[in-house]
Amino acid sequence: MSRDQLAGLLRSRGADPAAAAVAYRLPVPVQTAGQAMALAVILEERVCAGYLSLVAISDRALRTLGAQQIRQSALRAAAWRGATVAFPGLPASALERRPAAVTRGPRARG
Amino acid sequence: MAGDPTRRAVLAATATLPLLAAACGGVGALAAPPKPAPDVALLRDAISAEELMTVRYQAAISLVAGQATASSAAAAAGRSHGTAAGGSTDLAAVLRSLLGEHQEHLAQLRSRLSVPAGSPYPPAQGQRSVPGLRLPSAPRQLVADLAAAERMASARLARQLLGVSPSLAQLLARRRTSRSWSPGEPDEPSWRTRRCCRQGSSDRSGSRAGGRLWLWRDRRAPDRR
Repeated sequence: MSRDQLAGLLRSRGADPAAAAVAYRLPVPVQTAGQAMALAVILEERVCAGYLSLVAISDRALRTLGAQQIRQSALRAAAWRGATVAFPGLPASALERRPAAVTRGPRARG
Repeated sequence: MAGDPTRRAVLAATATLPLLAAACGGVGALAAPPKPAPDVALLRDAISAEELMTVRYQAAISLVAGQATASSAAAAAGRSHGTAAGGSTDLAAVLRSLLGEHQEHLAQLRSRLSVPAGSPYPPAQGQRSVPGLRLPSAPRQLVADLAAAERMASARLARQLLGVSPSLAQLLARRRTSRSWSPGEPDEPSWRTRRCCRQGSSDRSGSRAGGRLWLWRDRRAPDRR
């Protein structure tokens, strides 16, 4: 989805999309092709994380849109990265597993 | 008055009998437990689907690894160039990578399911094998078979995530994304082709790299030509 399409979607729902900045501070230095690819991966992952927030909304249309765009951005990130990840758009630290699935309780005595 | 003690005894027994039954047989002795909430049922379904997928990938890896071993033996005996062995090894490596992602998904799904003690719906113990699971032996058909299974799972996830809680929807959306990079996905350009190219597979015939490129070339399925 292009930025203009997304801006139109926001305006149709009464929101005021943020205007594009004149320049952006890059998260990593870009002086080689490898660094440019790393930047592309970071940007796509951030896009993926942004759309992940949309999936949490109960509105079916927005949730579907979010899921579709997550897929697209994650595929682009995988193409740039050259490898896939299990949970796109989410840092490993956020995937803290809960303890055992079976809760142990006192057994009834008959 | 002689009847009063008898009536009291009956009333007392009637009041305590359910308690005794519960003490002996648990809550289930009184009435059937309520059915699980829709989210729980869907979570169980997702866990079962993920377990099935891991079994499928494990079977595929075993098949491909066996082929790689046989091809290597044939190459060592001078009966082949060894290209097929290299291709099978690469395929097995990719399949192991995808299997690892499915196992991570499975672990996350299981961590979200809390099963109370004595529940009539115990957690799944994990599938070790699927009776009647038959995988094609040819690598290309095997990849197509796995890709088809991933696409079906992705379509099912797209329907399921519309009616679940926000956190579960986010988890399902990520799982659906992972379905999209199954090996040989015909709808998307194969990033693995790019990686093979970057690794210097300029020799497109006979070499190990050429074998990799042959396997992972972005080809359309016959019905899409």
